[in-house]
Amino acid sequence: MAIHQLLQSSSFQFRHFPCLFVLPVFLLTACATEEPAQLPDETEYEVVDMSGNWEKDFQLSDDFETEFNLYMFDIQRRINPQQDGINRGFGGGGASGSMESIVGLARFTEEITRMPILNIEQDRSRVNIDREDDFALFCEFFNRQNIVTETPFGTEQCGWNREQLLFLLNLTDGLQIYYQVTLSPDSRQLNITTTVTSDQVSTAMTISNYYRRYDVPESNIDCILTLTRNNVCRRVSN
Amino acid sequence: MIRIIILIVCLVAVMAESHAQSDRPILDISLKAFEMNLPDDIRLQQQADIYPAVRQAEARYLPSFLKLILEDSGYWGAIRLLPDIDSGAEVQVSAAILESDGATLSLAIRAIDATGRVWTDKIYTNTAVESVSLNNPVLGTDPFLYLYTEINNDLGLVYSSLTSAQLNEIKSIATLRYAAALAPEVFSLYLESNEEGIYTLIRFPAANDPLLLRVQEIREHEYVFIDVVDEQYEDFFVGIKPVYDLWRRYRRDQLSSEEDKINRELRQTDGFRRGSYMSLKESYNNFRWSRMQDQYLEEINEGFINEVLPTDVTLEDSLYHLSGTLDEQYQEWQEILKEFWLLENP
Repeated sequence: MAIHQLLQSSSFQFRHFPCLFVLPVFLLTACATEEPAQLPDETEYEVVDMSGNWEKDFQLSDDFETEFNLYMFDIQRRINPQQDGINRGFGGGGASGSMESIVGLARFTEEITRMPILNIEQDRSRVNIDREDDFALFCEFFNRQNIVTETPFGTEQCGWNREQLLFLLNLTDGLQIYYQVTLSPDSRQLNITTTVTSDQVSTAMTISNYYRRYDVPESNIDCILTLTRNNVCRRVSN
Repeated sequence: MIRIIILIVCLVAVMAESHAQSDRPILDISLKAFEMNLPDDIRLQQQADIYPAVRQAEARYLPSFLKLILEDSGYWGAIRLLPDIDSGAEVQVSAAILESDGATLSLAIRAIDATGRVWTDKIYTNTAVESVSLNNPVLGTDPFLYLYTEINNDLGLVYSSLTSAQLNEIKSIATLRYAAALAPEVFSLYLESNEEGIYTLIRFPAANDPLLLRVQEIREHEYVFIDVVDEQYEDFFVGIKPVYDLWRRYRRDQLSSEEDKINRELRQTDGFRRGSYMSLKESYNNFRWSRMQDQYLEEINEGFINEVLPTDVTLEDSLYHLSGTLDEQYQEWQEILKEFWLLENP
């Protein structure tokens, strides 16, 4: 169930978010306790080969509902460490704006972390993580430097930290998305940890997804893209 | 529009004058394949949206088109496109591609005659103008037709300003510079050059000078090779024209939609409260759109390369083969000329 559907269900609201309505949320904007993520400058790293087709392992990946509850609890704990706040009344007034930010951040995080299928192509100097229905995360490695791609709507920075591939997106309106991609030592599992930060919410939301390899059936049709004839395919002998 | 009319008027005027002066010596033009002007740093290439494989094809395609325009003007003698500088060029045109993204073309053009006189040395820039020509579908439909016409006109104006004696001097010096490259100890004596690279003719060898006749023979042999090189460039041009036209159109469309989107987004305030779901979503979608545009461009470039590569490889192979043959011929003739020289001047 998507986050916006969860939130539309009133029974869900009261069962899962007892603390949600008592937060002195006007404080949220004032106590941005988490520093924005930064990619480490020149670090020791080893490029690991992540290439292949990957599908999401839903059993191992974070359950969004659970993570959302933990996230809300964490926010409450940060704001009001002495009180559990459970039996407080419904807060009104200026609270709604920040509530909108917290819920908005969660809903947004849920959407961008779905990524059920990944196709990773990699060679010695570049990696391309193709995501279904989204733009590919692309990184080229030059002289151990982090590579920055600038667009009118934000920047994308990427680099390696030890055996972890990192992508940091700094977007407009104070939105930051940080992807940490890690391959298991046996190369059978891939983890993508996504941390989403908004400058309107004190706590970042993090979702960890696991992927396992899957094989694409071999095809004896080889296609290349051309401009005048679109895809041109030919049969290849196995 | 006014600029276009002026250009056309200039072209017509130059052409008319050309016909009026048809008894004047006609000059040959040697075109060198354009410099790609690629930044060394791959990141700078990316920032400037330069795709090396596309640029390599352009370095051969664009001079091929200029050659067609020069030929079509009827103003010049033979127009020869070569991978390198022609040592016996009457007028040598070389260029570097400064910008070529489908929407804008900017070329640094330098044309110099055999005497060292600079005909043009400037940057020609033009934005694409969509045009349809029923009369000339090859030349008339190029979106940068006016840029090439402007180059032709500039060259034509210099040509018109020279006297027949000056034109003859250019032809003589071109022959002697070519001869001096083969047998410097003989033919450099006929020429004088200053620090600025201006050549003057001291005297011309007798018309029946045996060494000069042999040099002219070599030159004729070289023309045979050059014609083959030329044919290869022509095949390349014909082969990639439809693909390159399409690539430029896609690029133009992409650049124009990108510009529209950026202007729209910067102009309007979305009205969403900062930090709200809609605000985050919009921020992400804008970035996503921008990155997907970049990836679309990569695809266009890849499609271009997939289609052009076989033609490019064929040209590369033939140029390599021909230049090897040319070098061998040169060496062989240089040896023969030296032997003659020693025989005639013991």
